[in-house]
Amino acid sequence: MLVSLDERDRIVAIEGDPENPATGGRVCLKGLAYAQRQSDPARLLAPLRRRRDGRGFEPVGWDEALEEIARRLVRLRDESGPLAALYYEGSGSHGALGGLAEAFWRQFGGCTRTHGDLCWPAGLEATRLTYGANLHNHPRLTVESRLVVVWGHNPAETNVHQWRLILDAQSRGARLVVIDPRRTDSTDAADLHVQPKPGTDAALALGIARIVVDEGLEDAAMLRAHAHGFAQYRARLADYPVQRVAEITGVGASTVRELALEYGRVKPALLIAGFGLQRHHHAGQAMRAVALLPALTGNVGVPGGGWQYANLASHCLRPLPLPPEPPARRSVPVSRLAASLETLDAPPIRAAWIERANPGSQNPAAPRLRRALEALDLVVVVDQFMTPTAELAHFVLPAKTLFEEEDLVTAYWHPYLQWRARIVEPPGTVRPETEIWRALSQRLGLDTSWFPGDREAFLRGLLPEPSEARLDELKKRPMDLSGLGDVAFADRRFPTPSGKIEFASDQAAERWGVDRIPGYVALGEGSESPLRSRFPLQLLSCKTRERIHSQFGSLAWVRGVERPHALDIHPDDAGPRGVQDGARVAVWNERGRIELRARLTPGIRPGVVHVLEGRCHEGDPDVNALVAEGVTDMNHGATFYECLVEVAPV
Amino acid sequence: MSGEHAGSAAGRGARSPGAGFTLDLHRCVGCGACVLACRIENGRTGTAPWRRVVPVNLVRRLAGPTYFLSVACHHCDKPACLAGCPSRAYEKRADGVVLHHAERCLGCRYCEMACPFGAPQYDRDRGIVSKCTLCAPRLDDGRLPACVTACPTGALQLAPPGRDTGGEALRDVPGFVDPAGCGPSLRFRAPAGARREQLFRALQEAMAR
Amino acid sequence: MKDGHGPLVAFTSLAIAGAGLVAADAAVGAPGESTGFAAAGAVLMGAGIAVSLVHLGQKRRAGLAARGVGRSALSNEAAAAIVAALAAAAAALFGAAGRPNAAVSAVAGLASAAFLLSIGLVYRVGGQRTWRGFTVATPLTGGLAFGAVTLHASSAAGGIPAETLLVVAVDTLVFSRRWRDIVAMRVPAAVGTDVWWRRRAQALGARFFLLDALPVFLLATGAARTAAICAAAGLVVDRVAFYALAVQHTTEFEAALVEERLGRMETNP
Repeated sequence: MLVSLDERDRIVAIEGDPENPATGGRVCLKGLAYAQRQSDPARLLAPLRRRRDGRGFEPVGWDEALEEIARRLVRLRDESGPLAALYYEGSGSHGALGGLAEAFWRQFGGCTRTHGDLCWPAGLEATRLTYGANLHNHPRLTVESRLVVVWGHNPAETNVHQWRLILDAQSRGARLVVIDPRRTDSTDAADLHVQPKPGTDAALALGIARIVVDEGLEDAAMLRAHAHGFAQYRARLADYPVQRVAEITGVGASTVRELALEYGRVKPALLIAGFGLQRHHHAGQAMRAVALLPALTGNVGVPGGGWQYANLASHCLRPLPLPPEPPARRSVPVSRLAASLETLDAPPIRAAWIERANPGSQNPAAPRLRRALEALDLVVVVDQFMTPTAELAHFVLPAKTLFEEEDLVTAYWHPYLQWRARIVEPPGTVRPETEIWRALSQRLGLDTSWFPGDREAFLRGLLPEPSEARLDELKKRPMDLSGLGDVAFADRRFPTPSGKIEFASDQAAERWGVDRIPGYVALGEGSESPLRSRFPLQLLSCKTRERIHSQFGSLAWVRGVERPHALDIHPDDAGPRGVQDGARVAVWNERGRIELRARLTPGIRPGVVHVLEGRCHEGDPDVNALVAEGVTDMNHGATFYECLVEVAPV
Repeated sequence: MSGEHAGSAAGRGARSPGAGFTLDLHRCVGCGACVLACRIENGRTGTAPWRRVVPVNLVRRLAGPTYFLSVACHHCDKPACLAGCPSRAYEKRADGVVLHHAERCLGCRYCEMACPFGAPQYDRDRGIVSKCTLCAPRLDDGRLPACVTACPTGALQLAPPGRDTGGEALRDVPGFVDPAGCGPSLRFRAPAGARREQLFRALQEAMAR
Repeated sequence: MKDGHGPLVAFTSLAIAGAGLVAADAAVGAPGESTGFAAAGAVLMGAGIAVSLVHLGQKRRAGLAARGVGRSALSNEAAAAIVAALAAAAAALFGAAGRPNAAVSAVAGLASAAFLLSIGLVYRVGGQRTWRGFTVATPLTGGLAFGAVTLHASSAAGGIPAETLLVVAVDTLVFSRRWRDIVAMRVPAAVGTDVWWRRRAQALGARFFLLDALPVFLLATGAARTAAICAAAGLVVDRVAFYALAVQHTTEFEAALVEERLGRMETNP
């Protein structure tokens, strides 16, 4: 990003950095919106303290705020032990320095933390189990593909830079297949759009594999040399004849066949999976089933081919220097935060520190979580803006923005590590989080030397080759320091236990107690669930172009270009329920109820309804009121997309 | 896209000699980055932006494609704003750019009524209208307009003066017509991709009927 | 009413009434009775011109409108308004001085008619769907109809002269074309929900009733003064409806038409 300042050091313009090879010098809507976000009147510029009468907040000085927070934390530790404090961090405005909160908490004696992730962990683990590492080809190789299959992903909205490359491939003659129960901007551009029932992707993948194998289209040489457990996998395919697959997925047998033959024949074929198909209880196994398709067809280690899920090539920084970990440790799954706050004992959670996150809107069972947070003795939220979570805090501390502190930023699609410069000083009394932690440590008499005095030197020390020259280079342009090259697994070496691509995984069985061979398991709340007699519709709550979850939604500029917010419902589902286009409807299940307007769209698969997530401003529906606190079969993910509901006019 | 189906009657004929935008309807995802870039570049921070995105078929009716029309001033051949302006506040430059000179504007809002494309925006606080300049200062500097630079998919392009030699670009697409013979310079590239291309063609035929 | 159209309704109502009086008087009025009408016309047009300045965002730059004379319909209209108002004032002055000048009165009448036509031409813009075709002539025919009816208000004579009937008939004919176009016009649902648009047949009907039909009936029954008031009300209704039914033909309008077509294609594939 190139940022222009005016004479008073205010950000007036943002443009793409032509030196950034991942974006081609272009910026997405959100990047541009920083020009407003940075100086939005709603931005928090000074600490706030909840008023004694509980109504609203009053400004408070940093000294007073930190003094009181420190006093209350120490008292709580004395009374209940350090684990009575919860530290919760999200990934808003992330960077390497974000991890330094740990330097405080370790010296504090520990705290209760969360593990897992709301977003993508099942797919990460499935990929790791299959290929040994989360790496994929350089994005620029996308254009060399002859067939791009986008599965459970809407890059036209959620990764517009990737979308540009996919379109480039398409204009060079590649075919584009998009698999999504919804019709989206991505499916609209596709040559073939496949709309399976949500949660049936494993069956679709295995059905495709069955046809590929039956037709002899698998890459036998590759499989002989680099596959582990292929015979068992192949035997498993007997369970997935195309008729059964068509029944499970709701995709016509001829379409499954067309897709399988095309994917089996066209080379190189790139399979891009989104996070969308791994947000249910059997997500890990489903992702393994999908991830094996490139291996089956010889598309691994090939330019223009491959399995694209997440690329952690840029995650090459050295670990942060931290004090030794104290013996007191406790952790709860992030997707079960509400239940954990309600039930944790010995000690119960009494305080929460929440940073770069808005769990009160964004986590499953959000209303329950809000009630649980409200009941705590002390809640501190660090944020740039008021959020439904910050509203519940005793103290809200203003957070810096990405322009206000140096940092190193890793990626999860392109391989580049980026230097984030400090372009402006934080406005008002805002201080970077590292300074908040330092000040709090000081008040508790802890060692503050863990927090960097010279940030640049500190960050340089985190580089894989910590040299002045390297940092200077990095300041000029994003760099791929992984040394892995553009084609992932080009050397056909897979860091799995067997050293091969694992069609059968003992580790999956040992770690997660799942079948060694991936298979389809019907969801507890899915298309085959008995619960459908009461809640017949599968609710998806997907992402949109103009927000990163609940961020950016308060900005006038963003509001000016966003699309109307509604429950997308197929006319076939709306008709029998008496739901009219534009009418207000209730959406509910046993966990909660929300109201919003309905939008009748023939584009969505019948039996599926959709609400955009991340809308927590002015009358937006609280969609996570409907979502269960499920945990994925692998790696502690959330199950946002396994959610049955009923809909009726209000 | 191929040139063949662009050759409907609407796709041929006189072309604007001036510079103007070309919008690829396959690549445009309606994200609005162009709108924000326009706001930033032109200081339209608290007022209506000069550029806007008009969606077609946002509810995704199966009979038709969904696409987006990112529109601003079209720097017409025969600009209705310029023809009607009582104080001659508008100028058409040799390179085709239609400029509005704020210091000559009466704030009569006649151009706002006359323009079929909603390009001139009245600013109540300043008592004058304003509109897209095709980023003339940037053009004069050898740079592209801000919206073109920002477009993340490359859907919005600037076609230089003297373009339109090929038969590929469309002048009219469903949702964008020239109701007053102004000769807007905006050109389109029709959607690609087997499905959208087919739907788009069917819609073109239906609208022509 | 659409944003900012209030002053335009006031301006055009006053100016059309004034110019209509002067023009009608020149065309069908009784010789020797012009002074009052010319004075009234000049005052009305002057008031209209004054009100028209209200809607300018930069009132002090009004003089710049002279730059467009000969090119811009708006500048031409402003110039015609000034010429017509001055000519009417001159005719009135001659009359008040006891020396009515037929030539000056004729010039005032012609200038007023030209001004009425120029108003129509101003609104002949492609950006507005409902301002096309015969609409161009309605300020002229409507103004003349109002003027012709009002000429009788001060005269005690009963009955309706053939010229007046002709003027009203022409207005009716011209207006009926505009009515037909607008009532039949397809607009997108978003425009169609506007209360003026939903009631457009009634709004336009009221204009015809007040400006054309009722005054003729009232004149025939000898209620000449009421006929004039009625016609004036008709003129205001005409102007209000004119702006209220403005439908800007932008890309949004076209896109909405496409969506409606898609809806029909989907229900009858």
